[in-house]
Amino acid sequence: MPREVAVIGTGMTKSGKSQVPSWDLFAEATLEAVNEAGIEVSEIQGLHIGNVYSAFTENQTNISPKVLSAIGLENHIPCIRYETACSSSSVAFRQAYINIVSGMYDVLLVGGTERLRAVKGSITQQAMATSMDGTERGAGLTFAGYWAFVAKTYSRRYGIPLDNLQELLAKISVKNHFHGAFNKNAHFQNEITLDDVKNSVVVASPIRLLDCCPFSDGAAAVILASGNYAKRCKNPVWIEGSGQASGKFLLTEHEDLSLNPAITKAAEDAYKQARMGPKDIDVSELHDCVNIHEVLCLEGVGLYQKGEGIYSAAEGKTYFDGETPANLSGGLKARGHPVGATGAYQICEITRQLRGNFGGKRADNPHIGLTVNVGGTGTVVTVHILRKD
Amino acid sequence: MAREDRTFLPESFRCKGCGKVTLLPKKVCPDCGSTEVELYTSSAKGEILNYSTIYFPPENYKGREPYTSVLVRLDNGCKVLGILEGEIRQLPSESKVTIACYNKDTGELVFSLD
Repeated sequence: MPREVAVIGTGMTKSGKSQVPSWDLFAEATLEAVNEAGIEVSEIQGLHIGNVYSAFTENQTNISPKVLSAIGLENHIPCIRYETACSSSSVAFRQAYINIVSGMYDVLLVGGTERLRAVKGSITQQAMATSMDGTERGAGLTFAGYWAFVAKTYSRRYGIPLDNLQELLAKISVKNHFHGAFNKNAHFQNEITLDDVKNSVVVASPIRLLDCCPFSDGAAAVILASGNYAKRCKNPVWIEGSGQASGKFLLTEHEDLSLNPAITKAAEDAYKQARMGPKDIDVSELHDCVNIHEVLCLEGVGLYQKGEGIYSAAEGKTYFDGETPANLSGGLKARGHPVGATGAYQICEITRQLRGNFGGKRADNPHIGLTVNVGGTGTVVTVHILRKD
Repeated sequence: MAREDRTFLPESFRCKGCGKVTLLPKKVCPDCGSTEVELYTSSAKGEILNYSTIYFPPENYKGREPYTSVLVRLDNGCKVLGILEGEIRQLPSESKVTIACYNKDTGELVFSLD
């Protein structure tokens, strides 16, 4: 049996636009997490943090000791920053988990921080573009263009006319904004209508602006602890499975863009460790950078059969009171996408769903939660399964 | 421009073990494990597998929007991304295209409809 590990504290800043640097944002989230855990900052034995773009947007590298300095945690503990694009902070979380499983550490500070909106949009766009292959970027591909190819492939594979597909996708955005409207930490706390999505500008046909998530500033922090340590804390949430897998880096090398085998592989590994399957999952946070990706996540982790995930929101199944509640935070679409922190937000949100203190729409007494966080164009995937005490 | 001239075509690479063709070279073939990868005869012609009209371009394509981003399978089996010259239009599936221009330095690859 591997050593038990639990989340004992969570903290999130409001996702959106911040006047505060990313390291100070993370310090703010850390204090909330430490308070929730009921521990002293001085008990933390190391920092694992996700961050992607500070070199571009804040002119700051070497961000992990900068974060320690901002917290005031200067008692010589180790620190490390992870960068796997949009999955950076869940990869940081997973590495911290493995560090505790190894027996070397008992209490670690984990999370992610990002600040994208403080600089001109063009700087952010150029920075974001570096997370895809340079050759394909040079050939005129954009992230929205990538998801346009995915949506069209899905439409073709399952024989769903593009107009119908767009309507079904719009219902996912409407669903995520509905939940975001109740989440006090969400970037967008407003509902939207189907017409809002339909009338939004086309970014890369058939993908429209309101099919896509925003880029956000934000930080999320988690206190992870070994089993013996966690048992002294209130309401630990146990990590039952942690899977990570890598997908094709180049769009041109995918055999079928409507599937991502890396999501399936990461999920299979996590389910195997947890001795669970998709039927055990009560609530999930998924990587809906563009709404079609929520569908790939739902199908990739087996919550839906292939070709059926597209109907989930339209049939009400992924709402808080549905069979498979997903993205009750609002997802990337409404909670927002502070890229290097998004995976840590998901862990915090699922932890609070299981503890019952999530500040928004809650699933009905969930016991098991799942997260899917995906970096780049489906390239670095993590799946985590958490269990209520 | 001499359209069949190899210098105007993107390179392709082929695994000697299983014949897999890729745009970028790999040290080990992900399909068969062979370490023998060779530079492969390129093709100027191919067919469109998928496309999208891009209205919000990356920095290096600013001012050229909207343009059509195309996924093309070249006749040598290599899949590549590029843009389609000319006006925005609905394209019948499997439209045939020819490379009109390739810039090795920037990676820009422009196709024209046959």
